[in-house]
Amino acid sequence: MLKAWNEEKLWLLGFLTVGFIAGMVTDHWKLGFLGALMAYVVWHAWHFVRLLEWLRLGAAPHKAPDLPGAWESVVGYVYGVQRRNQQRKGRLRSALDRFKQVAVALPDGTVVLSGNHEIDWANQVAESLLGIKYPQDVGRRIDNLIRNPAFHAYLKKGRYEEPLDIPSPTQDHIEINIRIIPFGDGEYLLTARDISSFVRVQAMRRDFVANVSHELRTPLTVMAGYLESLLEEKDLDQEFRRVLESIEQQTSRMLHIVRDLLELSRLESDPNQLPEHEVRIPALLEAVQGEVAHLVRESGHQLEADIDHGLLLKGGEKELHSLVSNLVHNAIRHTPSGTRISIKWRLDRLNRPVFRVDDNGRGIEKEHIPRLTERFYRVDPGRSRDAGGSGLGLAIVKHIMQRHGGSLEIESTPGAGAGFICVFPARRAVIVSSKAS
Amino acid sequence: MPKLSLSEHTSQQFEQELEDIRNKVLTMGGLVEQQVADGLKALIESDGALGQTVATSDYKVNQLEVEIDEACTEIIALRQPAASDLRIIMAMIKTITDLERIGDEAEKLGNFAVELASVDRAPGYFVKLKHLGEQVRESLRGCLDALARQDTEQAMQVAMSDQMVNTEFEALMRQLITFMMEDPRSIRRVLQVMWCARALERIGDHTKNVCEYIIFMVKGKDIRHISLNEVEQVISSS
Repeated sequence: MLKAWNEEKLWLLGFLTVGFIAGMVTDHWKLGFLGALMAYVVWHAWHFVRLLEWLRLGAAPHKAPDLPGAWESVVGYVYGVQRRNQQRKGRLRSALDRFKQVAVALPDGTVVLSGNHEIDWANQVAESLLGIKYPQDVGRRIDNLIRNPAFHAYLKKGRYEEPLDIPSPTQDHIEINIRIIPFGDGEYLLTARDISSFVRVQAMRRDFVANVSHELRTPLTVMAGYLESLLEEKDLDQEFRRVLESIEQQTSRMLHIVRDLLELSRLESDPNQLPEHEVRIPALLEAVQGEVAHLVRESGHQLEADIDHGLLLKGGEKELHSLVSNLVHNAIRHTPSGTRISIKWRLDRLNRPVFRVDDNGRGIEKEHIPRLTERFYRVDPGRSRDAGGSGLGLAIVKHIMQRHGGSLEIESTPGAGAGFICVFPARRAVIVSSKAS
Repeated sequence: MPKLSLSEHTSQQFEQELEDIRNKVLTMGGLVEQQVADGLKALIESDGALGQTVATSDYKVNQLEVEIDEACTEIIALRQPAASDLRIIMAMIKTITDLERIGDEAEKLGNFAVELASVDRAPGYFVKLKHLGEQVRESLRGCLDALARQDTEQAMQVAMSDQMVNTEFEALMRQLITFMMEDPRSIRRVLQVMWCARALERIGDHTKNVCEYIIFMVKGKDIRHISLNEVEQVISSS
């Protein structure tokens, strides 16, 4: 900049010198200097005009005028600003291009939405999975193009922690999993993933278990039937009878496992159809007590019950029977003779109906408790397999509780006993007067 | 296809109200699409529970129709819209009427499914409806997409494809008649399939109506009651 000002000073000096000479020659000093200064101003005005013209046409760097003096610095600075802008634009453009390449390569449909759910941007997969066309659909609300009522409800809810599964709007047979992620300044990122094969695999798994169990049940039933009639023979050799009884026991166990597998697979495959009848739990509990009465006598257990006879439950009768039966049988099976088993059916402090089975048996070590509801999990394989049971009881109980919107809790103090607590949601409680149930 | 300019009227709030109505109409459209899909599925898979759900969900469609109708009437009374805005409102009012009718046809499908499921499964007769059903669903989807995008070209295409639906319907009728002639015991069940096919064909007709309203709304040209060839000329001339 200093150089520019120096040059400018030289030019001014030059004009003044010409003025001086003109004055000397013509002897009109005042006119001479005045003329020189006016020429200086006009000369500057001319450069000003050239600069303006350059700026007006967009200040193209290669068309920069060659201006003297201070004007050169102006041109220089404008040129510098221009170049920095170009560079920045170049960087932005290449970043945008890279992003676009990444987005196109994503196997999931991706859509950027504004706060009003209007479409800002969508990638190509979004077009095939969701029918959203970019750039034609920019500015349209996404719920105008994806009209599935479940999707509308999901959008309206505003809470997107859980993803949503819906059939693709464009291709019915494809199931897609939609996630909405808020980002930036009130914008949303919507991703759609094709999960059809995942859904198919799940269905295949369930069908497989159900089919296998069905297939096994028939031959097992035949075996059990014949064994029963064989054992009815009066004149059987002692040893032979023992052998047959052992076979019968194992067959019965296999049948039990198959039956439980079928029940579990059924519970898993219809998630939405829980009947909502008023189930008379007190009566059910008494029935189960009756069912196990002889077992209890044989095994030397003590069974006691504390039942609120005025408390009923809204749910599925068969499933609840299965739940109670499983827990009571477990208690009998996995505790030593003489153990006291107590059944309780009451509302808790938060008015939730609670069913619990407690025993004062051996108890369960802390590390096993989280795994108890796994299928076929055995705390002590040798001991408990002999006791019988399918290994699926707690898995079934857990599923039934889930379907009823409740939870299963397990408490235990090793050496002092264990408790299995089923907590149902308060809304399922039905209170009647004790006499009515 | 340029977006219909909603900025010609003065009030921001008015624009918002029009936008709300359009969103509600498309929501209603989505509901109806779901009903038709479920009704068809219930029939083809003999799913009585699903059919029951369809039949008992029709009230939602009717509720929306009443809501939107009231909103439109209010706008006419309070805002006294003119020109393109008035066309939008008129088109919306007519569209919801046709959508509600489609909902009724879907309800019929649901009721048939319930009846069907309680008897023995009809041996594959109802599966014949699958192809016709798919065509009708695709038309409905295309029509509602055209409404969302204000795309008269797509609306034209869908309107013209209704011809295919009618052809398919007639072919199905002929097939069903031969079934009845071959085995008089099947008449009752085949008749039921016919009623369902009729319902689907009606859905196709209502869809075509909505396409005509879209074209009227966007182009300001009334194309009802003129042949489709003339329609193309009318559209391309604007």
